[in-house]
Amino acid sequence: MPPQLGQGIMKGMSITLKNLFKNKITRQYPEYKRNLPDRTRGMLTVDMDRCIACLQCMRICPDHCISIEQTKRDADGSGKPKPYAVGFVIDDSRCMYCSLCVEVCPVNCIYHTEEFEAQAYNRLELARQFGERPVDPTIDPRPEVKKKPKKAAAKGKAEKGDAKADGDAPKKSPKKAPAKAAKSSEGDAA
Amino acid sequence: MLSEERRNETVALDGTASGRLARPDIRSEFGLETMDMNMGPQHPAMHGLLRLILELDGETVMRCDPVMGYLHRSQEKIAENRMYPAVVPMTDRLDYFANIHNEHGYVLAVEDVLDAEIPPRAEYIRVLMSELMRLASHIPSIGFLMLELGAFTPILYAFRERERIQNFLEAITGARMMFHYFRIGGVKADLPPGILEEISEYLDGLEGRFQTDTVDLVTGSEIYVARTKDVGKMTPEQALDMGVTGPPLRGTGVDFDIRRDYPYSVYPELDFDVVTDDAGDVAASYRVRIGEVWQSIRIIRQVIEKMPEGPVMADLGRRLRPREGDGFGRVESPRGEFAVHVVSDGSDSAYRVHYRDPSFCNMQLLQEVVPGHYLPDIMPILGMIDPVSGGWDK
Repeated sequence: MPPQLGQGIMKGMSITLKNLFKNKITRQYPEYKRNLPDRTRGMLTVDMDRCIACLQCMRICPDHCISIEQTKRDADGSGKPKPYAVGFVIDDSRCMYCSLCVEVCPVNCIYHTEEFEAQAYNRLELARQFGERPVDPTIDPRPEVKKKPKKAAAKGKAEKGDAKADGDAPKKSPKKAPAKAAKSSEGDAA
Repeated sequence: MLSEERRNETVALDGTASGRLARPDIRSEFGLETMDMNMGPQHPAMHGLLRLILELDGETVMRCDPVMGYLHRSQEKIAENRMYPAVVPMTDRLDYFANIHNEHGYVLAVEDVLDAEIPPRAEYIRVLMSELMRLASHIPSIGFLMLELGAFTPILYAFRERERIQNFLEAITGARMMFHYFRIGGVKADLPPGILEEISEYLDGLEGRFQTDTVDLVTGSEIYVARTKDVGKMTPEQALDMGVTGPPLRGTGVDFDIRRDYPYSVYPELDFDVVTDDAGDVAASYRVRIGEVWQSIRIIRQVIEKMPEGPVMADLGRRLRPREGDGFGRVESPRGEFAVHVVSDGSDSAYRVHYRDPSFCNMQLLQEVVPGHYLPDIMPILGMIDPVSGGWDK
């Protein structure tokens, strides 16, 4: 028996009608902001009073979004200078909010805030010194990356050899060997 | 119905879907030409950036070649240059519609090299998260399929449910999409207090809403049946040859589910059925997805009931240096089998990481199944695979 004409549309409209009298589930975002849960991972900020400049957050960050300028100073007059951060830049344009730095911090000085609206007119505005937006967004607050001359760099690599202290160390002897072999075989074939 | 006539015509010609194609001799006699057409990469109905090169004979597709790579981010290479824990947030970016399963696959593979023991509570939390994610992926999948057929309502109801599940996931992990919750050796943190009761309460409501707003609304619809029945039909042998996994495979009647056949985590302790269907078409994969939603709800209820107490993280030391060797982890993601192969050279980053993503592997089905179908039938077939751009391009 063929289905009754209009049966489908009646079924659909009945569901529409039922939902018509329910509360709205959409929210007008900029006017209405919902309460974020306690664990929300928003933009990072840092409490400089507690920071011991151990550089662990900088090392673990997969996106290199944290850059710390470190010196040593004798703050308490004990004769033993301790590391001290003179610059602590968090670059929000790179951060992916993975929270690895928060977990690794031994003194819990770097943490997530509930802020997530990171928009800016200038890219350098997102590089926040000590967790605060820069006053002059034309100056890059990040410490300069010193580039070694090529010869010295090559020498350094050879000396390092198997020392894989850093996870980002790009050169590994087992990886390099097959690539070289493949290249030479290609050359032979040609 | 129109489609019924259309199919009878087809059967009279040759008996197969490819019978719709004009025979080469007829084509040359009348000077007919085929037309090459690009579909995508910027196309409103494509699941991301996918380009299909189509050869059309009238409105019938003769050849369909998917072109991928528009979203390639070299995830496997990135994984080689990072320490093991720092790769987990990157796996979230693979299949961004079901991230938890990617994390789970990678974490299982690294734990395989490390020979790590995971605390039982962590395993139960992992299964809870996986199944919540499966709900949050399957329900919108049904909505997407309907959206591609021109029905706008189901996607709204589907996203209503996904958003609510995301609220739970956000309360547990701290993020709505890029969770980074699984760690090598456990999970990041214990569940927040009271969340299990909230989830349980939500599931009570979800059962009724899903039945009325999605299943009842869609299943009997004439337009839906006309557009999906016998579309994208394949045999179990074909599906196995093409390496299809997930709902499209189970839709052909092959009884295969990683959760049961290659058990991981605590799935052996849980009671659930593997949903299969015999038709092997788009409608069958839709029925399988609906069945799996019910099964996921069932699994979550058991997990909430059995959730043990204890730690959620094994002590594996601060810096992970696995032995030399390789590890393998496979999970049943909502799209099929997601597997990760990690080769370790003894250092703190992997020598090689390979991801087997279901979106990528299921895409082969297009070349085999699409020829012989009409042009608008491509959309439901894509809805059957339900690929995710981040998954097939990696």
